[in-house]
Amino acid sequence: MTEKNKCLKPIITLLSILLFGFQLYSQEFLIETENFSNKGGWVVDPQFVEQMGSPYLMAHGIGKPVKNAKTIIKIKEKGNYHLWVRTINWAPGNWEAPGKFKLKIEKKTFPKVLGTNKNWNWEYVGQYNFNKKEAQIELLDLTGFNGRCDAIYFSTKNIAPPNKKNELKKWRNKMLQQTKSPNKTENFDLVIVGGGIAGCAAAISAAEKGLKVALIHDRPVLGGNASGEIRVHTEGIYGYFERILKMIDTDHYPNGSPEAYDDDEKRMKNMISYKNIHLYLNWRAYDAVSINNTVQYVDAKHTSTSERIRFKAPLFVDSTGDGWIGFWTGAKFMYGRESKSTFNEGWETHGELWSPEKADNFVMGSSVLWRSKKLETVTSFPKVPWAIEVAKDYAAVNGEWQWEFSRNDLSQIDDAEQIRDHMLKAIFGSFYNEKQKIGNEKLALKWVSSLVGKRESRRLIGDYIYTLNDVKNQVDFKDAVVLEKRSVDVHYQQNLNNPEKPNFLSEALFFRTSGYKLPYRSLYSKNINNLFMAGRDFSCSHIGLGGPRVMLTTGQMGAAVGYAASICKKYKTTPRAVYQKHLNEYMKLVLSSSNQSQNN
Amino acid sequence: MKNTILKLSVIFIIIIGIFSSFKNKPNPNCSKILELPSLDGVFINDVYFCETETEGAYYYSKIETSVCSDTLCRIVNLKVYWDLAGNLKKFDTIPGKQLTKNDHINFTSEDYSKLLKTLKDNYSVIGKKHVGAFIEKDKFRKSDKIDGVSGATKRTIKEEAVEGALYSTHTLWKLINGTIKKQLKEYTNSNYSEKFKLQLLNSENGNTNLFALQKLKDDDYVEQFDLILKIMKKKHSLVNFYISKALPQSIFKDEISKQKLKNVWSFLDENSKSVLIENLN
Ligand SMILES: Cc1cc2nc3c(=O)[nH]c(=O)nc-3n(C[C@H](O)[C@H](O)[C@H](O)COP(=O)(O)OP(=O)(O)OC[C@H]3O[C@@H](n4cnc5c(N)ncnc54)[C@H](O)[C@@H]3O)c2cc1C
Repeated sequence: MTEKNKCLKPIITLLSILLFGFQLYSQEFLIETENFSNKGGWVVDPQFVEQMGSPYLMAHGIGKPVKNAKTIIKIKEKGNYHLWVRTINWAPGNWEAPGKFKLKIEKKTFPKVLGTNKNWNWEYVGQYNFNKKEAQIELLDLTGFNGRCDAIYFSTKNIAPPNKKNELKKWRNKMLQQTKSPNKTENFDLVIVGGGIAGCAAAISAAEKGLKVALIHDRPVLGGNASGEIRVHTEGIYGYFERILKMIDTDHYPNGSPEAYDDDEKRMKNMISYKNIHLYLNWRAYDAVSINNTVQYVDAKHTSTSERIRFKAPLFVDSTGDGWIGFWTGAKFMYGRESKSTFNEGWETHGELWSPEKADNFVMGSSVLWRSKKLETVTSFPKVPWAIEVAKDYAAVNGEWQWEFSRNDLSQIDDAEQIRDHMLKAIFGSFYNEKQKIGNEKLALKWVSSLVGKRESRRLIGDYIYTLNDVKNQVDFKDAVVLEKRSVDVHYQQNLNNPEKPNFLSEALFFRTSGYKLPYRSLYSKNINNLFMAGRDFSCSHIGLGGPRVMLTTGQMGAAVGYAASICKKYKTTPRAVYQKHLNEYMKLVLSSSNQSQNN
Repeated sequence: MKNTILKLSVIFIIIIGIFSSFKNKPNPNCSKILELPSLDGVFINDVYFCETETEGAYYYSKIETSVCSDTLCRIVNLKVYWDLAGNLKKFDTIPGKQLTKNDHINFTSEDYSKLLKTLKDNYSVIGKKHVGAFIEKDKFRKSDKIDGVSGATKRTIKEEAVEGALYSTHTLWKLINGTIKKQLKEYTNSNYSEKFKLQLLNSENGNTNLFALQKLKDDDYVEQFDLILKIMKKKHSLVNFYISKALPQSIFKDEISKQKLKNVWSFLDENSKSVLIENLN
């Protein structure tokens, strides 16, 4: 050490002590908005946790500001705090941000308009002097156009929190004092993640065979795309599972119709009638771990309370659609459109639109359904310049299945929020254009889903990969557990063929068939020993998914998997061994499904 | 009563059909290659392969077909020209046999343009279904049986069919874009030549370009690179996406070619850009 440095040493030490002391003294805390006790008109959005870090509150008021979200916070140390909110301007451009809001504490409304960040990041709100141990905090929506708030950070120091994905994750856990693993563990015979029609059917068939089942679903209602939240009607045939599927399917309402609520009710009533189905609604799985290619557990978090549970079982079903459990546990999977030679699925008539010469990521897209209605009285709709960028001059009164968005550079998983937001712009812009027409003075936007309905993403690889050739050749598998008759249809974006068309509309190509069967071997993972899949993440090619992705077919997959789980339990064995060693017994069980009654 | 009228009109059409076998021959540069029966099998239309200095190679047929609604049938005549990829190039009317809407009003020139646009669209909704599906009897008709077919709304059809000529548009689309397309492509394939290749690549129709692009080898992409760039400027997303994936690595190793690609950047869609960007950087 030099002479000069020697002199500096005591100064540095003193500074460190001061800084350290200051740090000890400084106070900070984080409030997750999804934990707000009164959410007012804001909705919890847990769809993009893996990408942006957390469920968040969103002011989905379809153009009308929603009621304030409120909560009471406890303050350990009174004093002056700096405030930040984590938010995003979801439609940045040369216009005012669509989703603007303000923060209010007790009687003070902060002047800063929030929701203006280009990407998810922290926005500084101002300072507040807490002189009581409790305070009411409120989110004030200003626009009704999907303002978003993930969390609110309070600190006596004026230093913004981190925002890089991993750093933020660690920091968030620290702030919320989250231990590495959940404190609570629960044990089941079968853990099913994803309560779409596939997950529900799996739960019923397994429960009927006496298994203790956990069904973890990140929404308040069951049904996935068939729920009243997304409103797609179930298509396909019942196969061997009519009795089970009729408990959870939908009427043939036009997609987007509120008639979906009646079916939600029916589904829920039937599901809760099974005592050994343990429903975890509003729970989102966020991790799963495998050792020696065997899933050990799934960790899930409540989307509003942030409570966590570890779910253990000898067997798991991935019916998340996006294949999350498979992804986390290292199951092999596929994504994208295979080249036409990969599985020999080319069709000259439709060439590149059907199956490309070279593989790409141009999968079938995701949708947001919506509808409008003529009211008795004249109603207004605000200007939406940020939406016109996408809608251009397109005008519409409702959105059916063709309202779909896919692009080669956008992942239906990683970019799902951007895709949902693109559809929101398309909807608000097209409705605005429609509203300008003479005669539409009483037309009002009635319902726009806040959830994105997906068609295709990860497909987990099983012992058998189902392809178009199995449809064409009408292969009669000895383990055929799912039957279907509907055409194989895949979608493409209309603007691919015709630049005049908007980029948010799709078209379908149909390969007609008289019927086909799917093997059980496409319903369990090739390399994860105790993982089933049911739903659109089953083992198939991109074109192979075209037929069986509809919900009665995916429901059949679920029911078939639930029965297979019961054989696994009986012989303490794996899904693969059901095929290899117990196929006769299993097929008898499947074939007799319609005659079986509840057994719980 | 309805049935009698229908029967009478069918008989009338058959008689006309018999007489129509004595048809005019097209110009001497044409040779008959196949026959195209009308959808009801009443008329047999000869299809010719033609080649002229000015037009290059193309296919031609003077088609005659019956167009039937629920109650009535009538005859429609048109001279049809397809390109080497089996895509419609244009059509001509036959003097005295103008197309009509609502069965009696002659088509305007706008109507003809609209018809041409629809007939040229390989994926027009009009060709997808039985024509009855486009007539919405119940405004709140429930959506169709399968994902992806909830029924073309009347509104969509209005965009594609000349008002009052739904049946003619539908019948003509089916005839011009039906099985004949495949047959014409096969004929082109079995007579494929350098001349054909260049003609296809120089076509204004993106789908026709694609037909030839799919036959190119890596070396051809290098050799025809300037022509490829010209195609890219036409902003046909499907074609540009195909080219972006098909371009061989040698193009990306050559700085001049890379620059040329950057020069057409503003003509490209996001899909094509996403593929090219990986190679350009
Ligand atoms: C607009 C549109 C129209 C369509 N038309 C039809 C039609 O007419 N008829 C038809 O039958 N099919 C139709 N489909 C296709 C069909 O809806 C889907 O293929 C089908 O929903 C797939 O079923 P699934 O059970 O695999 O997934 P989903 O229905 O998506 O269900 C999976 C559920 O799992 C939940 N989940 C995901 N991750 C987690 C997690 N980590 N933790 C907890 N829960 C999680 C999700 O919230 C989701 O609800 C359409 C799809 C769309 C988007």
